[in-house]
Amino acid sequence: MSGGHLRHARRYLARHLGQTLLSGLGIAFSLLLLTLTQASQRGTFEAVLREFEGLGQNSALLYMHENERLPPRFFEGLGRLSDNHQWRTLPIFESALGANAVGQPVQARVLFTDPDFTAVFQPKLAAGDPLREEDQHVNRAVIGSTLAEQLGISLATPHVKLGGEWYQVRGISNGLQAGGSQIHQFLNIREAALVVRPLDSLLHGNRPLKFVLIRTANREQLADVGRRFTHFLAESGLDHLRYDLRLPLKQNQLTARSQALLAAHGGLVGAVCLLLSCLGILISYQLQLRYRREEFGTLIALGASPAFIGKNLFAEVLLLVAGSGFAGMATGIAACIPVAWVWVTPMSPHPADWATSVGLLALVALATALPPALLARRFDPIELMRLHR
Amino acid sequence: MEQTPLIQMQGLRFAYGPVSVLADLGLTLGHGERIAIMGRSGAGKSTLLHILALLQSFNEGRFLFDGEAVDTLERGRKEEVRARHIGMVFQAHYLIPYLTVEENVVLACELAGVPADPNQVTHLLACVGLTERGKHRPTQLSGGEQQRAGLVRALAKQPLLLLADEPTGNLDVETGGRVLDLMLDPAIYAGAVIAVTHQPEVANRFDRVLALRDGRLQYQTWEQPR
Ligand SMILES: Nc1ncnc2c1ncn2[C@@H]1O[C@H](COP(=O)(O)OP(=O)(O)OP(=O)(O)O)[C@@H](O)[C@H]1O
Ligand SMILES: [Mg+2]
Repeated sequence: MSGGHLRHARRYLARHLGQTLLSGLGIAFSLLLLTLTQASQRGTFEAVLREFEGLGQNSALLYMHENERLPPRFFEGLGRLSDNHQWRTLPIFESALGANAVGQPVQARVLFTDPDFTAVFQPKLAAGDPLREEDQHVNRAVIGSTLAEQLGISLATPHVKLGGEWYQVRGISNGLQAGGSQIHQFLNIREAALVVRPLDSLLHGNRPLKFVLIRTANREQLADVGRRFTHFLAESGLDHLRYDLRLPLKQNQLTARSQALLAAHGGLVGAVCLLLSCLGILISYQLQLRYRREEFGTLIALGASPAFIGKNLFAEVLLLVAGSGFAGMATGIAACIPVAWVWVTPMSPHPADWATSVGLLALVALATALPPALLARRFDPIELMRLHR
Repeated sequence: MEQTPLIQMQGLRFAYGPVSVLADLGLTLGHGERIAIMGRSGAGKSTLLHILALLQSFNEGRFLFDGEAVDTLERGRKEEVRARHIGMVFQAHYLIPYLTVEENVVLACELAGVPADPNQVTHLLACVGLTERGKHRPTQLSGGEQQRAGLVRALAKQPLLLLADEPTGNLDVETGGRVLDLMLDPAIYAGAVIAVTHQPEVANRFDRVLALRDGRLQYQTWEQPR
């Protein structure tokens, strides 16, 4: 394909402006959506990263989350950050064990850790009692009181078999069954506490924490912390207690985050939209191959080959898809600022994302442009010429 | 040394399956020679033009275009020859609708591989009385003007052969006459012309008039319709 084909395509598209705009609209919209989605995802991701930047060495991150699991990128960010700081990241997995009294399985949870967890935490106490020598070799779990009751677990009989493995119940917590509290990650911590609403176990626990970071989206919980803050710090001998309302868990930003999640679906919607738009263009060109036969016949008479006509059509579709795609991308990049402002959501447009979009666009453009071009190659010149009387 | 004829056809045979169209057709045409071909409808005139335009291949016989044997030409070469050396005009104009008159002309030159000389294009447009219309789209022109624009497009690349299939068929006598004047004016175009026409008064203006009958070309003998 030469510049001649592209020039022809540009002229054809420019001089059928209505048709061009109509067929390009879907593609442009898809790329707009995709660009916004990427910017939103990256924005959220970077916001999460910034969250952790403030964590020091002797820090415990107690993550409290009302009802939603953190998205995978939360963990990606955390992993990357721990690598950078050579922090040790210990995963604690959470699982629903059974139904509580109300029959809601999500409200009865157990937290599992891997063996590294116990190695780092070196638990000395099990719910206030000294840990027995033989108990130090089993995995430990903290479960909610309702569940403990249901399973008949008490501090006297602290063992439970889960998935073929024995766990020792290290603590029984009031409030865990009230739902929502999850420890997701610990960063290079020596001791940790499970914080539950209404913060009783934190306040009454005798674990010497150096630094507690509490994140919460719950206003009452914050009020709790605020009320007991002074008293608590003195009593626990803590250096510092910081509660943090920044992204992504500010109350009002929870909506922003769910919007960010929506935006992730925006990627899917964008992809479907892109697919349909390309289908529309294919159908349009399928029709054009018929109603432009006279024009093609003229080109044949002027010495063009069917392959030449195919290249013309290829250039047209390529330019149409790429042009409208770029227009959509540009609009998306420009729209990041107002979107971030209106919906208070972190948006971070980035050249790496644009490159991905360009790659995708190129692929889609080629895939859409090829069929009309190949079909045109099958034209019979004589048949086209017979239209010319 | 005598110049090789532009067209040499001998014993040409062509059939659409069982429908025999051309049988043992012969034609020799010198450079710059202008002939008209007549014949009743369905005689195979358009088919012959398509063969002459290297669009249609034939079943048997010999066809040399400017000394080159056509049936042995490679596929791409046929298009090259058509683009460079053959101009075509039809009953209707068939300009590309979204290109201006000038762009139509330039496109033909580009396909021919000859750079369009703006002065020459302007000159040709002036010759056919379209000086002011170069930037217009075909839909902005009358039928006769479009036909003249089509003629300019066919001639701008200075082809060796102009093929015309009923070029005046759609025009009134006066407009048709003007188009014919232009086509046959050596100052505008000096190459060879083969025109198909149903109108004796058109045919009479050519050097030779041939009739396509029973698949062969014969000298036209006028059988006046009373
Ligand atoms: N694709 C085809 N398949 C079969 N027969 C065909 C085909 N195209 C043309 N023919 C036949 O070939 C014969 C010659 O057709 P052609 O178009 O060359 O005639 P013509 O002399 O140009 O007629 P007219 O003066 O009406 O334009 C006709 O009988 C026509 O029916
Ligand atoms: Mg005909």
